[in-house]
Amino acid sequence: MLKAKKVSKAVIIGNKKLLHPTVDILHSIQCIHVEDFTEDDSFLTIGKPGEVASEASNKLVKLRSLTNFLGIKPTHSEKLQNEDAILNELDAKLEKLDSIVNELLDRKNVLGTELKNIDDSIFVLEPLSLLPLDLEYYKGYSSINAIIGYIQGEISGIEQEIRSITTNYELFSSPYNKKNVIALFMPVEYQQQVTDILEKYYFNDIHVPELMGNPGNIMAGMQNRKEDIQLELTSLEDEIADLKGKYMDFILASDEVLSITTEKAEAPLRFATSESTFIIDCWITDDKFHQVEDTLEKNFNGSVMISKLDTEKEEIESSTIPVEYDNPGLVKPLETIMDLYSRPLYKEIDPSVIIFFTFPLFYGLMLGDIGYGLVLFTLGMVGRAKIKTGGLRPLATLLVYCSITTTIFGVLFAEIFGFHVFGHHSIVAVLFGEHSALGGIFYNFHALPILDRLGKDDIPILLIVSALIGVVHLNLGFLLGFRNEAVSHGIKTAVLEKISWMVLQLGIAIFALAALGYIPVVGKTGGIVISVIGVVMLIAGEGGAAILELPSILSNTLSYTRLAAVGLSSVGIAYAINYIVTNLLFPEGGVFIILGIIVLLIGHTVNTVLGVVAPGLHALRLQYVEFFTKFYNGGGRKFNPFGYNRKYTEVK
Amino acid sequence: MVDISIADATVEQILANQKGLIAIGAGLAVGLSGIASGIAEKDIGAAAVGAMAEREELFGKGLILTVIPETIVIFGLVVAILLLFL
Repeated sequence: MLKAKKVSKAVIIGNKKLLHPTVDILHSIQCIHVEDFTEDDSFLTIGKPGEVASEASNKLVKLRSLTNFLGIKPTHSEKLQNEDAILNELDAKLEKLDSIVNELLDRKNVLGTELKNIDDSIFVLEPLSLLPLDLEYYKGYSSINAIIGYIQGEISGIEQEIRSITTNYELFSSPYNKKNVIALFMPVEYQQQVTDILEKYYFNDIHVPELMGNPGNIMAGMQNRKEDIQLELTSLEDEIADLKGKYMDFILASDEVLSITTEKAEAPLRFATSESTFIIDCWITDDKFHQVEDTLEKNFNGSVMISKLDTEKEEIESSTIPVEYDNPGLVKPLETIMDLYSRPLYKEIDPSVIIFFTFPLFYGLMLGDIGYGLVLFTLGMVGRAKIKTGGLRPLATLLVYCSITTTIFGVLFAEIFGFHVFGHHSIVAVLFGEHSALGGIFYNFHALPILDRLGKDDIPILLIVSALIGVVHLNLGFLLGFRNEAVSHGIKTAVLEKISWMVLQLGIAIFALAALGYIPVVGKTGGIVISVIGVVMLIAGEGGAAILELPSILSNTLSYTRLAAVGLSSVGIAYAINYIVTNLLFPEGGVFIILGIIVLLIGHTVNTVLGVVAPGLHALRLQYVEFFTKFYNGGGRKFNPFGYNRKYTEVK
Repeated sequence: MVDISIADATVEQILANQKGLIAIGAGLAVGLSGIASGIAEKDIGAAAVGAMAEREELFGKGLILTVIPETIVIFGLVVAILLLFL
């Protein structure tokens, strides 16, 4: 807690012949974070990948293209498969699946092409089917020109113009799609004149297909074939879906097995090797060191050794040390919030534990409503049940934490969906009658709310409380900053840069108390003197530019009044919805009751969504902007253990 | 509309009038400061989204930079609350 897990730099050295067995073992225990070796002028070179590497990655490529074709997505799997069993049948199954899929793909392509050709033909045949000619009559003339196409405008107009050239012609036409389709047969010698006329009517040529017979009949045949093809395609899709259902487990499992094989085979590319030895440069968490040492000793009898450097003594730049969080399980979800900002540096305080308390506290204080709290609790629990892995699960857990504090503050504020729970305006008393047994209890219970956000008397208190929470939170930040500075730059800098702010606050507080008459007037002068001392310390620590930052102490503290303000806005919306429904809609009766219920449902749903987003962002912001800026640097590297988290397979 | 001239207004009318002015003041405090934060946040937000498109891990920093001007509207809200309730 509060510190990253202790890690040390280590080297693993061994006989090159034992490289691959060593990789197998290290990969399965997942304890080391490998530093990639980059070749320099020394005699060391990067290792050679294992022989299986290229074969495995070829298979992986094939498998992934199958995955893609079948549309398989990673899922959560309950049953783990045996790795050896997968490996034994991998080649045969992959071959078989590949040929099945190829055959399906070919069929799909052939059908697709045929479908496209039919569509193209129908597009041409449809207008021609309106003319009373068979297809063979459009072609094969030597002295006659056959002109087939679309024109725009009146047929009678164009016929008149043609007649002015010659009466020796034959014209067939039919209206089609706001245009006219025509077939015009004329002696070849008039070609130029006819072209000129047609141009005026925006003539557009139709390319008559090389077929015989009545276009309408041909088209009907094609339509039938098209329906058949569509049926075949549907059954093909069913076959693919069947195949997917049948092979999904196998594909996911073998993808995992092959990924692991490739990763292991290619691992030597990250290590340094000499003629007969290999050297793995790595980081290891201290609690795992003996496990690794023992495992290597047991398996290789001294031919492969690990030894570690003391990170504390060595002057290692903090930002190069990989960071592994060291938090209890309850606090783990908050690490997501940390990573969202930036992982802490190795030597820095890891504030996950503090956020574990303050984030839900701020959230609950802002939302503070029993109704919304229970809704969010349900949402969070459903989310946890549905989402087993991945980045969203911690957020669901976080929602559960926040819903608990929301409910607690809801009890303190005695609010349920913006209604009073206790006292003379109690919703329970209104619903059941103040003289009923249940209603009476709520009606007469005046110990709650402790703070009434629905009335106006308690609101100034709420504002002051939130500002005070701010003071405590900020000073906690300064204290943590003091510790971080003391570790990295020494006590003196730490005092000047961080304690100075606390001195300044003390001065301001004494001055304010004296000015308000709570302590003797002397306090005013004392307060000013203390403040000046604080400012001088700050300038000594951070330089003259620090003066520009002085107002931030005020704006930072006042920023915490959002704890009250954001809460009031959410209460305000809930109150407005309830007022519209109970005071304006329900008294009208009839349809308005149904309308009222709809408004109530929609209104509170929207307010719940706002209730997740607004307090969440504001609680986050108070951490990131106000709190973190007092002590936190971040920028640490993730401790990424060499290995693979198996989801679908296991090794017996 | 009630026609009020100060000379023949009753005490109740004057008090009601004052309440109205306070409400207008509170509204202006929230509204104007909201517009101000909006103007300030729009540029930062756009730039932050741009930066995030390049490097996704900048989300945390982007969020912080984006919400910095939001303090303005919180101050507005606090002023409004003080006006209404004190």
